[in-house]
Amino acid sequence: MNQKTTLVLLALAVITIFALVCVLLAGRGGDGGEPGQPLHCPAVSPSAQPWTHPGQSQLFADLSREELTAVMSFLTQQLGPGLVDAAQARPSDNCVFSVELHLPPKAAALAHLDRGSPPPAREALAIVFFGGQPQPNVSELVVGPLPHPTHLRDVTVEHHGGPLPYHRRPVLIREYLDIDQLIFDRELPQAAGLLHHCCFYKRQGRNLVTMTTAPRGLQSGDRATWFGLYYNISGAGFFLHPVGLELLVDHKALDPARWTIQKVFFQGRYYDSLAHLEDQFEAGLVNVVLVPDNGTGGSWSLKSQVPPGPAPPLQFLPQGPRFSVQGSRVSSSLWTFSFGLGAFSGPRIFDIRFQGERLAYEISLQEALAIYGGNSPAAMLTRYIDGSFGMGKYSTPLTRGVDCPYLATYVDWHFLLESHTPKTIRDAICVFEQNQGLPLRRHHSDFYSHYFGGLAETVLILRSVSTLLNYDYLWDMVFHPNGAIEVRLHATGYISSAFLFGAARRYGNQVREHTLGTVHTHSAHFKVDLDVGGLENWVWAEDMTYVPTAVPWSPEHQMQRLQVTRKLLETEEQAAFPLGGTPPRYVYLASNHSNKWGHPRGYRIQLLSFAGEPLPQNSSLERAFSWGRYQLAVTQRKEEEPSSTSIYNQNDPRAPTVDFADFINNETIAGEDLVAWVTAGFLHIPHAEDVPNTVTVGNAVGFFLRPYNFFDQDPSFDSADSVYFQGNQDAGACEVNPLACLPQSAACAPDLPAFSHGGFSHN
Amino acid sequence: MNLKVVLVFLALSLITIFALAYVLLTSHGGTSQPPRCPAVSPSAQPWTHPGQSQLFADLSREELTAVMSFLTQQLGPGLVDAAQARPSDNCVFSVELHLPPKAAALAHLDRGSPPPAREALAIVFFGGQPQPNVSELVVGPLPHPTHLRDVTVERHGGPLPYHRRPMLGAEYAQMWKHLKEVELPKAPVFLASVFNYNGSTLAPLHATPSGLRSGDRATWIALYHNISGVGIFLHPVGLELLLDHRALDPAHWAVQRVFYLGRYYADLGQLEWEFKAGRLEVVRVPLPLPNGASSLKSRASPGPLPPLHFSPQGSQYSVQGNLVASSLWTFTFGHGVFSGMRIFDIRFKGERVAYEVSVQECVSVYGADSPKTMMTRYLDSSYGLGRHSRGLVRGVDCPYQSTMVDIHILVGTGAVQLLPGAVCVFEEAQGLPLRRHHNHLESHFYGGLAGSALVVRSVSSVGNYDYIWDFVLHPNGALEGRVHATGYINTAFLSGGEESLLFGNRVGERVLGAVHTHAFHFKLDLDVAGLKNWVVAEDVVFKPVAAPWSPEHQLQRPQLTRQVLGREDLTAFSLGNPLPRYLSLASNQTNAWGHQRGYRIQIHSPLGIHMPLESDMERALSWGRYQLVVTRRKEEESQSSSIYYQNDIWTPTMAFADFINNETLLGEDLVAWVTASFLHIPHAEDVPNTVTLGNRVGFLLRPYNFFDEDPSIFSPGSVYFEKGQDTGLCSVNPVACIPHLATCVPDMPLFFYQDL
Repeated sequence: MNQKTTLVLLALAVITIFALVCVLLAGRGGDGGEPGQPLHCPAVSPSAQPWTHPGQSQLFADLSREELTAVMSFLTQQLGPGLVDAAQARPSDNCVFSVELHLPPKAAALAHLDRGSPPPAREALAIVFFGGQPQPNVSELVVGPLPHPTHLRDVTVEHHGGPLPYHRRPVLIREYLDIDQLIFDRELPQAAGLLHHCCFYKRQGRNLVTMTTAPRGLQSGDRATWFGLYYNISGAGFFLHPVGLELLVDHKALDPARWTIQKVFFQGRYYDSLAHLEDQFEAGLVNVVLVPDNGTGGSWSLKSQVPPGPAPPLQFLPQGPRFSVQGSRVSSSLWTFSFGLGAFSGPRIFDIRFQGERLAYEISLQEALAIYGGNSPAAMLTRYIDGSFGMGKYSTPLTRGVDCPYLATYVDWHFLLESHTPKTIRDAICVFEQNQGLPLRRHHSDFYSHYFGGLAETVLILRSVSTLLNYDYLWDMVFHPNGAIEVRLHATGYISSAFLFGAARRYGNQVREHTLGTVHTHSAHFKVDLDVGGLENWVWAEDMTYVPTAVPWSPEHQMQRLQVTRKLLETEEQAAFPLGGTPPRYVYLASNHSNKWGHPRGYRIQLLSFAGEPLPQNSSLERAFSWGRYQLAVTQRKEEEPSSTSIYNQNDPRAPTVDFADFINNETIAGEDLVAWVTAGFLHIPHAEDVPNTVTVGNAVGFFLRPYNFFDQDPSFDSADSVYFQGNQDAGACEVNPLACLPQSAACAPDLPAFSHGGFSHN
Repeated sequence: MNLKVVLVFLALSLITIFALAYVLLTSHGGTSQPPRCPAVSPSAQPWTHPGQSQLFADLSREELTAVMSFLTQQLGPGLVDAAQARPSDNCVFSVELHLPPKAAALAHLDRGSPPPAREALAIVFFGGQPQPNVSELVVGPLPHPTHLRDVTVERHGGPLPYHRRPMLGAEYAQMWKHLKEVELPKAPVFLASVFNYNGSTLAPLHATPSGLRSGDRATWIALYHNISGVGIFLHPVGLELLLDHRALDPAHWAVQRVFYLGRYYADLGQLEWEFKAGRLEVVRVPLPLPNGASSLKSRASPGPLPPLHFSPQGSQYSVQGNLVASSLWTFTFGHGVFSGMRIFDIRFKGERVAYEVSVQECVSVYGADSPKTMMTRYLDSSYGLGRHSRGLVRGVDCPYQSTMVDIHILVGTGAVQLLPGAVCVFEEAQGLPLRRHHNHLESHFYGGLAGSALVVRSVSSVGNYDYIWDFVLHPNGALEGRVHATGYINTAFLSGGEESLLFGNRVGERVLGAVHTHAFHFKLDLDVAGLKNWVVAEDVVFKPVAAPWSPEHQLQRPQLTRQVLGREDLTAFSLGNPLPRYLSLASNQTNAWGHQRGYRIQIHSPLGIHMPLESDMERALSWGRYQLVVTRRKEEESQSSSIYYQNDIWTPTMAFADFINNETLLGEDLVAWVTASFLHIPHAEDVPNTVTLGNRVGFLLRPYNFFDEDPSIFSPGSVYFEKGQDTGLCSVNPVACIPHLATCVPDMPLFFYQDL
C-alpha cells in the first residue's frame, strides 16, 4: 500500500477517534435533554433519623430499647427472685406487666423548654402484678433516673388514692392461654357429641377459637368473662364465623385449676354446663343449626378476588420531603412537635408549635369505647374499654402504600409489655406531607380587577393504627398550614358478630348465613391541653341570634337582624356540654392578650362527630366511662388529673379507678391552665357492606383546633406555595407563576424504595 | 516512516474506533434514563360515541348559537343584546339546556325508546312591551330549532312580574354610572378630603334583596376603595347610598337615602353641606397599599415543591363530552348557568344508583349595623353559580394532572361565552386506606386497599366568595357531595360604636368582618334498585333488660328502632329536631340476607341555622327549615328555589314548603332534599381570604344492604399477604410493584390559563 494513502487513512482514523470521544463525553455529561437535569427525584429517607441534637429536647420521647432493658434489669434486681416473666406468669406470681415513659410534670417540663432550667429527671412507670403476696395487688412504680436507674418509688396510692385491687388487673395473654386450655382440654370434650353434629368438632376443638368480651362480670370483684366461639378459618378473620356457642368462664381464682364455666349459651338458650348441654342434646331437646365452616371462597377473606390492576394514583416528592423526623421530634417549615405512643392510651403529641409559638402542651388520645347490643350474652354485655387492652400495645405495622402513602416516613416503636425483653413494632407510626388536592384558599376576581390568588393545601400527618381484636382504628393528627390542627379517627377492620337466631334483627343486620352484625357505638376521648398565647386561658362561647328590629331608614318595616352573642364561661360546669345537646357554635379557649384588632387571641374547638345518646347514667357501669356524657368539657389542668380513664376501669367498671365526671367540680376556668376534653363517636349498625371489612368512607370523626383571632391575619400567606397572577401577566411563565415551572421542576422519576413490611411478630 | 509501523497504528486506530462506537451505542441504552409515564389527558375528549346518551350534556357552542339565531329571528327587530340592554328593552337574558322529563329520559336510557327532543330554555326580558314581563321559552328541537313555546305560566303559575328579573350587568353599569355622574358630584369636597377620591378609586358593592317589599327595586350600595389587583371587599369607606332603580328609564332613578357613620341623610348634597359647615364627624380612610394585607400576593418566595399527585399508569377514568367513566362509575355532569353543578344517571358497576344529584341553592344571610350589610341575603342562584364558574387553576384548584373541561354559557350577553377549564375531573389519592386489617390472633395476615375516589369539581366565584363544589365517587359505591367556602369575606365599615362588635370581629383598622350564615341545598333523586322506593328510619335506644343468665342484674342494652316513614310530612326534619341516625331510601328488593336494598343519607353539617319563620322573607328560603325532607318526585317540583326570588323575596311563586303536602312515600319515585348550613363569624384569619379548612359541609350517600358484601373486595388494587410470604415480591403483593411501575417521569402538562 502506498505510504501516503496509509498516512491519510491514519489521520482520518485519529480524527474519527477524537469525534467519537467528544460525543461520548457529551453524552455522559448531559442526557440529551436539559443539561444538569436530574431525572430521579431526590431520595426519600424511608425511616426517621435517630435523635442527634443534644439541644433538642426529647422529654416526651418513648423509652428506647436500651432504656427499657435498663429498667427491667433494675426491677428484676429490686423486686427479688420471685419475679416471673409476664409471658409465663400465673395469677399467683409476681410479674412486671408494663414499663413505659413516665411523663414529666408539666411545670418542670415548661421550665426546661421555655426558661432553660435543667430537664426534669427522665423516669419510667412500671406496673407490677403482685400475685405472690398474701394480699395480692397491682402496684405502680416509678423508676429513674434514666438511662441508669438508681431509685424506685411506689406511686400507687399517690395516683389512685389507695392500693389497686388485684382483680382490676388487665388480663394477661398467659391468662387467656390458660382459659383456652380449660375450654378446649377440659370442657369442650364434655359436649363432643353436640359439637360433632353442629360444628365439625376436631382436634379437640382447635378448629375453633375463643374471643374475649369485657367487662368481666356483673358486680365489682367479679372476674367472669363471656367467651364466644368462632371457626378459625385460615387467612380470614374468624370474627364473622360464630358457631353459636358462648361460655361464661369464672377465672377469678388465683389457681387456674379452680376456674370453672358458670354458664353456657348455645344457639339461643342457656345451660348450666357443657355436660348439661350434651345431656339435653342427646335427649333430642336441642334445636341445632348446622354451621358450615367452609369459609374458603366467598368474601370472608381479604384475599384479592381479581388480578391486580394498574398502579393507583400516588403522591411523589419532586424535591424531597419538606419535613424531618429526628427521634421523636417532627419539624417542618411551619410546625414542630414531639410525638409518642402511650402503651395503653395510644398516640399523643407534645409541645406543639406553629411558627415557633407553642399552641398546645399536649394533645393525646385517652380512651376508645365500643358498646354493643345483641340477643346473645357476649354481644349484649360487651363494653370494650380499649385502653385496658392498649392502643399502643396493639398498634400494628403500617403497610407502605396502603395504610400510609408509599413515600411516607415510617417510625418504629419499642415497648416492654408482658415480657422480660423489649420488643419493637416496626413501622408503627408514619409521618407524611399530603397534598390535599384542594385549595386551602383561592379567589378569582373578574370585576374591577382581574387576578387569581390561591394556595394548594398540603398538610403534615402523623398516623398510627391500633388493631384491637377485630377493629382497626386509624388515628391521625393533621397539621394545616394556617395554624389549625385536626385530629381524626377512622374505623375499619372486621366487625364483631354473633350467631343469628330469634329476634336477631332487633340488634343489627344479617350479614352472612348465620351471622348477625351486632349493633354498636364507637367513642373516642381526647385530651387537648391548649396553651393559647400562654398558660392562662379563658373559655368563650359565641353564637348567633336573630333579633327583630325596626328598619332604621324605614321604621314602619321590621327585619330580623342577625347578631353575635358572646359569653365568658366561668366554671367547669358551664363548660361541660352533654352529648345530644347543642353547644354554642363557637367555643374557644383564649388568652387575655389581644391580637392587633383588640380581640382575645383564641383557638376554637370545632367538633366533627355523629354521636347520639350515651349509655344511660343509671347503668351501673356508666361511671367507668363518664367522659362519654360530654361532647366537650373544659377543666382546670391538674397533675393529679392526667387522664380521663384508667386501664383498671375495664375489669371493675362498677368501682371505677378513674371517674372523669369527678373532674368537673365547679372550679373556676377563668385565667387558669385549662384542658379541653373532646368526645367523638358514631353509631354503627353493621350491614352487608361491612363484610369482609368496614370501609373508612363516612366513618371518620374527630375535631379541629382553629385559630380565632390568634393571629392578625391568615398566616398561610407566608407559605412559599402561594400563587398569584393578574390578568395582564402571562400565567404560563415560570417567573410569574410557580405552577408553570412544574413541567420542568417536577419532571423527575420518583425514587421509590423497595417495599418492606413490619411483619407479624415483634422482636 | 516505516509503512509497517503506520499500518500497525492504523489497525490499532480501527480497533479503537470500533471499541468507542460499541461503547457509545450500548451506553445510550445503558444510561439509566427513566421512561416518561403515560400521558394523562389534560382536557376532556369531545363526545364521539353516538351510542352514548348525551341527554344531560350542556348545550354546545353551536347549539347555543343556533338557539340565539332562532330567537333573534322569532322575536323580531326590537331585540337588543343583553350586554347593552336598558330596562326598557327586550333582550335574551339566558339560554341553557332544558332538562328532559324523567319518564322520557328513562324510557330512552333503559328501554331503548327514541331520546326525547333536545331543547333549550331561554329567559327573555320583555322590557319594551306595554306590560313588561319576563318570559321563559322552550326552543327546540336541537340542533336545528323549529319551534318555540312559552312555558312561563306552566312553570310559574302566571306571568313573571318584570321587577323580579335578575340584574343584568348592564343594569349594574347603569347604576354605577348614575352614582358617578349624578350623585357623587354632589359631594366633591367631602369625597376628595375624606377618601382621596379622584374619580376612579371607589367601587360599589350591592346588597340584595333590593328593598323592603314586593315590587321594590331600591338597592343599598356601599362604597369601597378600589385599587388594582387587591380585593375591594376589605376596604369599606363607610359611605352607603340607597338607589331606587325601579323606573324603566334610568333618567328617573334617584338616590333616596345616604348613610355615613351611623347616621342617615337625604342625599349626598346634604352630607356635603354638613361637611363644609364643619358639623360632620368623619373618619379618613387611606387607600389600601397594592401589597398590603388584603393583597393575595405571595409574601414568601417559592420554596421546595410540595408533594404532587400523579397517576403512574395514566388516568384511570375518561371524560368524553360531559360523560365521565371509570372502571366502577359512570355519570354525566352538567353545569346549570344558575343552579350550578349537577350529575345525572349515576351508575355503579352499571347499575343506576341515582337519576340526579344537584346543587339547588346557596344562600348567605348577613348581620351588621350599617344598612347595606344588614339587609343582605344573597340567593346566589340568581347571580348564577354556573355563570360565575371560572377557569380552574391546575395545581391549586385541582391536582396538576386533572382533566379540565370547558363549558359554554349564554347569559347576560348575546354572544356565547367560553369558560375554559371550568370543571375538573381527577382521581384523588387520599393517603388513607379505604379499608385495612392486620390480623395477629390465630392467623397472621394483612389485607387492605388504598383509598382513592373520582372527583368532579367546579368553583363558583360569586362576588367575594368562592364556593368549591365537589361530587366524589368512592370505590365502595358511596357518593359524596361537598362544598367548601373560601375567597373574601364581606365587610362593613367599623364606625366605632359600641354596638358594632355585636356583628362580628374587627379584622382591619376600620373594618368589621360581618357575621353571616351559609346554607346550601341539594337535590338527591336516588333511584335505589329501581324507581319505587321507601323511606326507612333506624336508630338505637337503650332498653333496660335483666341479664338472662343472672336475672337479678340489669343491663342497658342497645336495641334498634325501625320505622318506615310513609308520608312527606313525616320525613320533614326541621333544624334542631334529631334526625334518625340511619335514614335510607330503600327498594322492596332485598339483598342475599333478606334486607331491603338501600342507600343511607348521611348529612355532614353542624347544627343548622335558618331565618325565623316570622320574617316575611322566610318563605322564599323555606327549604332552609329542614335538614332533610323526602318528597315524591314531580316534574313540576324540579327545583327548590328560583332565580326570581332574589329580587322579590317576599312573594315566592312556589315555596319549597309547598312541596310537603302529606303525599304518600310508599313505593314512589322519591327525592331527598338536604340542607347543610353553618355560621361564620369572620375573624382575623379570614383576611385576606377565608380558608377551606373546617368550612366544609355536604352529604354522603352510602350503600346500606344494597350489595351482598363490600364491593371494594373486587377491586384490582386489593392487597393481601400472610405471614411467611415475601411481601417484597410483586407477584405476592401488588404494592411491591409500585417502585417498578411508578419510576417514570410524571407527565406534567403545560400550565395554561386563559380566563382572567
